[in-house]
Amino acid sequence: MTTDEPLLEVEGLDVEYELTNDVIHAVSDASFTIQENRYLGLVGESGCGKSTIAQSLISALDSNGEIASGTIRFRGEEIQDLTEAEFKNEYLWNEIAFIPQSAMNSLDPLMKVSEQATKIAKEHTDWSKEEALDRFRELFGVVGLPESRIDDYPHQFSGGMKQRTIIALALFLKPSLIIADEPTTALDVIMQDQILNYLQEIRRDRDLSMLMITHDISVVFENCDDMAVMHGGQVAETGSVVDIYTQPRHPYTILLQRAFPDVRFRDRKLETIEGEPPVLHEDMDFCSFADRCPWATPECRQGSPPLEPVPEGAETPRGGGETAADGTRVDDGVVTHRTSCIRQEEMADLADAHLDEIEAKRTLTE
Amino acid sequence: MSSTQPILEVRNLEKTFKQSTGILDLAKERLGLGDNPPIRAVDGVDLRLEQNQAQAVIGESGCGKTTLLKTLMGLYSPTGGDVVFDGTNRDEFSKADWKEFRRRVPIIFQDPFNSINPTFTVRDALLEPLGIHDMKGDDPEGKAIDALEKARLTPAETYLDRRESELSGGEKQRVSIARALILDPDVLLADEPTSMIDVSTQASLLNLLDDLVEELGLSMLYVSHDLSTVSYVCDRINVMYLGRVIESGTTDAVLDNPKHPYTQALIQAIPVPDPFSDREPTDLRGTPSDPINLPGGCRFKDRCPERMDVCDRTPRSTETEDDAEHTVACHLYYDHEGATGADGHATVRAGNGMHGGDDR
Repeated sequence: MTTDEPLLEVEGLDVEYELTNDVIHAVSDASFTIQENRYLGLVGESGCGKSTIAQSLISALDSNGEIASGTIRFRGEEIQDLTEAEFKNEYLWNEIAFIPQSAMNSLDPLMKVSEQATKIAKEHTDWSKEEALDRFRELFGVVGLPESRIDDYPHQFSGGMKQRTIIALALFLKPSLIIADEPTTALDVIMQDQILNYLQEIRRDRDLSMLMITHDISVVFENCDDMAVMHGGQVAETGSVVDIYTQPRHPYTILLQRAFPDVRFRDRKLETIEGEPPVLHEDMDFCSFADRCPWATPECRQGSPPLEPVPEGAETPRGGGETAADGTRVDDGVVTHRTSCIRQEEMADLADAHLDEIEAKRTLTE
Repeated sequence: MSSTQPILEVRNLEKTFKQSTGILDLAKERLGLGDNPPIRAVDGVDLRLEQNQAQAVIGESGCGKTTLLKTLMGLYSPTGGDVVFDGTNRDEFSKADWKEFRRRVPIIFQDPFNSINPTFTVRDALLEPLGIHDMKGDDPEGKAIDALEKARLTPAETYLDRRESELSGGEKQRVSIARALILDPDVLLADEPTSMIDVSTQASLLNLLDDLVEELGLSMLYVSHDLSTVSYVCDRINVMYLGRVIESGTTDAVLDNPKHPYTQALIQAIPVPDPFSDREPTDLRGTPSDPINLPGGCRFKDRCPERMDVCDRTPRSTETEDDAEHTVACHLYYDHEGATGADGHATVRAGNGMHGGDDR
């Protein structure tokens, strides 16, 4: 099942958008890999470049956007230079399926959902119409929709049902990778929980990898095996969710975790991150977090920080099968924990000291 | 009666909407032909917001929380029930009372990107409400600076001449907060004020709202779908489902010891930022129905794992055993057998005035 070759490999990706008098460096030197049968969560704030990455993966950048450098390899084949039409013919639905951000509005309102499925099947497979419908009906069952409703129009569905229809379509031609851009953001929490649960259940009977793009680290920690944290177009840190949870080494990852509301620890004061993400006008040849970072040094602004492996921590042993409660998330060491902070070695101590400092300040003011 | 008077009290509030205002439907209605039941968006809500208290109204889309807020603001007039502000029933408000009410009860909207006039500078945005309420005094700019500082926009002077387009999302929301604070309000109404703000900025906004209640002695009604953010700001939580408050209690009581099966599912469904968490996904299925032509009884009965026959009668809000401040509207928590009178729930409700006399 798991081979040495990653399913998707993004290396040194730079994406730029051309404006009238300006260039936006939306993604700078981004690298991460998705292994077979693993879910990777790509997290970051608005404007950090995560949706741009999704669009470059499926050759669907806006017309003023282009991949300036870097490679995207799917099963070893470079796909970054494909046109949208080539990508659609060779990869879309069969190999890579896409769940867009506004999935609720991406069904054709004038077609029955079954027709939309048979249309996809007709374009990409040699299945007969009956075969296609049978398979689609089966998938309705998988995502928890009544099979009798495949001939409904989208407006007859609720938001959560539309979302599940999109997931059924994404699974339809048995792709090996699903790219989901904020798949549950528009949904209420109970519906979100149901959908995420389906996304977990579908991996029980098939090999499936997923790139789950979201701003919500709790969704990633609970549902993904690996993660990549982005800030200002750069990958700040990547590795297994266990590594990043237990030993975060980039200041942004550390502060983001402390800023995230956790209903279990509501007495804790939330950490705040100063400033705003940078507007990416200039060439990002420095750490994009430097202006917000409590530990920034002059070196952080000299040269873009390389994504370097994090040595295995002494305090928390890594790899070799740390198992989460549901038994699925095993850190098998396939994905290397890497961060682009040049002070990564000092970071654990600095972060602890920072916490003490804040605590002391609070006690003083209170 | 308790010793202190609540700043804002809502009693049995109802707001219904007509499903259609089309001419055919109206004609049918006149002739007594068509059956066009109303949408019962808010259906018998009681709330008591004390001085210097932050309370949350929580629920999924369509539960009526936004309608409740808009009715409280006075954008909708209630179909039934009372809103009492600082001891005065709003039915008795004069025009001047309404103006004073708007000064003392400002709102912070969900979307800071569209709630500030883009042609205004921050100074204009802050001085406008002062002008309307005749509060400019000798030093309006000083008041503006003071309000910006309270909203932690510092140095305040540097913000005065900026326009909406020169502010980030978090800064915009702070300007909205400053605009509310400049009127020296008593109650802040907040409609999901952080839901469109990024996590790194959201934390500082939540801390700010929390501090404001503490430092300025404000009260706040915070409407949201997100229990985890609310838990950092609010003292009490009211859970709404299909137009009714089904559980109410202190934040700790509701989150640590939820009673209503819906609240339990809602809390269980919150993802936690921890890969080792042993949270089980909720087994609740389906979505709430539309609040039209609802069957009688408990609104949640069709999705409820604990459904009993008695659920066809409307549950009254009852105190939980251990905590008089923690109420839940569920038959599981009181002896409904003993309370059954000749006509079902009417006897149950005698004297407590919850939800009115009848379901329909």
